[in-house]
Amino acid sequence: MMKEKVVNALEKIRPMLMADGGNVDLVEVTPDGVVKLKLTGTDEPDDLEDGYRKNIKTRSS
Amino acid sequence: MKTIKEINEKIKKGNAVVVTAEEVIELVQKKGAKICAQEVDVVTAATFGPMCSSGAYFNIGHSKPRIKLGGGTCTLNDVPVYAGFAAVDIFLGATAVPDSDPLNKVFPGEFKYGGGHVIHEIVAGHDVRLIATTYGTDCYPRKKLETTINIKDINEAVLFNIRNCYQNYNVAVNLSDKIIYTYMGVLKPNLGNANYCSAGQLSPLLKDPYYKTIGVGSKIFLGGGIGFVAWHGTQHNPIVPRKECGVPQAPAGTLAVIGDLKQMKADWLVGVSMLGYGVTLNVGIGVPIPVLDEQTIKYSAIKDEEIYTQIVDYSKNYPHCIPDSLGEVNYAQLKSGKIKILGKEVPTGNISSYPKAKEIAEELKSWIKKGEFLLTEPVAPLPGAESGYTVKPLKENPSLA
Repeated sequence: MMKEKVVNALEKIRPMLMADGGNVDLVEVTPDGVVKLKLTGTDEPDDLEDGYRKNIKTRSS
Repeated sequence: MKTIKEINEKIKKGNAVVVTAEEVIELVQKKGAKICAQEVDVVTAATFGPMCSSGAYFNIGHSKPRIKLGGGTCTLNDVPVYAGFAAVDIFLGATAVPDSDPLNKVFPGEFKYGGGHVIHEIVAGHDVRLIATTYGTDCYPRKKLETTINIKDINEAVLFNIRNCYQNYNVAVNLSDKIIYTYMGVLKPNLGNANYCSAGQLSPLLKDPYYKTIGVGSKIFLGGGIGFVAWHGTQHNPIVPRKECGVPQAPAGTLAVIGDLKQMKADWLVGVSMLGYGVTLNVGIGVPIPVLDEQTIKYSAIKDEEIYTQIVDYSKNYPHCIPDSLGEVNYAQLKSGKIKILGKEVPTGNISSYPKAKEIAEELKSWIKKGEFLLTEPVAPLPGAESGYTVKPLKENPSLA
């Protein structure tokens, strides 16, 4: 259920992410709710991570 | 199955069936794609909107004694042009502004005059003032030049736009509590309005979403005259996610276009001042889509309801490259005048002109029907959705940041 929500959240941000040359893969959602993502196509993962964190949290909660 | 050669034969005989990208929608709904693919030969798609990566190059002819503008400075009506070529070749960009412009020092800047306006004046046949200073050489001794130039007198005047015709674009909104001034227009605070910029169901690359007919060498309507697709445009990004009908859900493909400015018209190349942002050029482009088969006409009949795009916050997310979408809407919803964002009803506005795009599609249709405009075979394809070609962010050197 949690994984499905995360996948849906990722699909919502993917068009804008890919519009800027980035992308994201879902690696794992752990039993205690930690979401592990693989970011690609960006040289500034810190900035992007903030964006993902906020968006995934908002959209999957 | 039809070929471009066969279609051109029909155009020459004056019996080609040509419809606009708007008309084809109803036609396909009524008769079906199979029959329409046999009956229709060409679909004309078009767009008219602000396209910042536009510009023009000129060869002004040699003065007596000769001057070498390359390496010097040069302005047209006080707007700086790029002179880093040979002696008398210059390039004027649409967004250039005079050095005397206060820019955004008094915010929001008005940007009343710039490159886009100069291009418009040149096409309109007005004299423009050229001022140049440079260094002298044995072969080019002159160091200063002040004169007027006119499009009818100079050697070449060529419109060369390195990125036009975006295949889809964001809807821009403002989540902050302050008014903001952007290339998508003025955005009122707290979701006060939503601006978009596309002709939707008339827009060329939305009607040939996989670039099956549009390619390098395609002959087009450009600025009221004839132009050509020169290359894929800068920031061409065909790999973004697409809907089932093939239409990308975010900004994707782009075109670089070129054409002789001397045969274009001022009505279709118009300088624009964007409050608090800068100057740009409204460009009119029309693209003929040859109906080669059933699939081509199916694509060309894609309608506003099927074309989705993303709603993006321009107060924080866009400027800071935070990948977020506040939702997805289609162009039918956008054209209804209001959309719902985060539960709020928000008025919409299009900074691209649909009525003007329609006029271009009709004009191109009439050229083809009269036999004045034949189609060309692309000489190379644009990088497609499966090509892996994508846009990249700037790789900044951290040691110099």
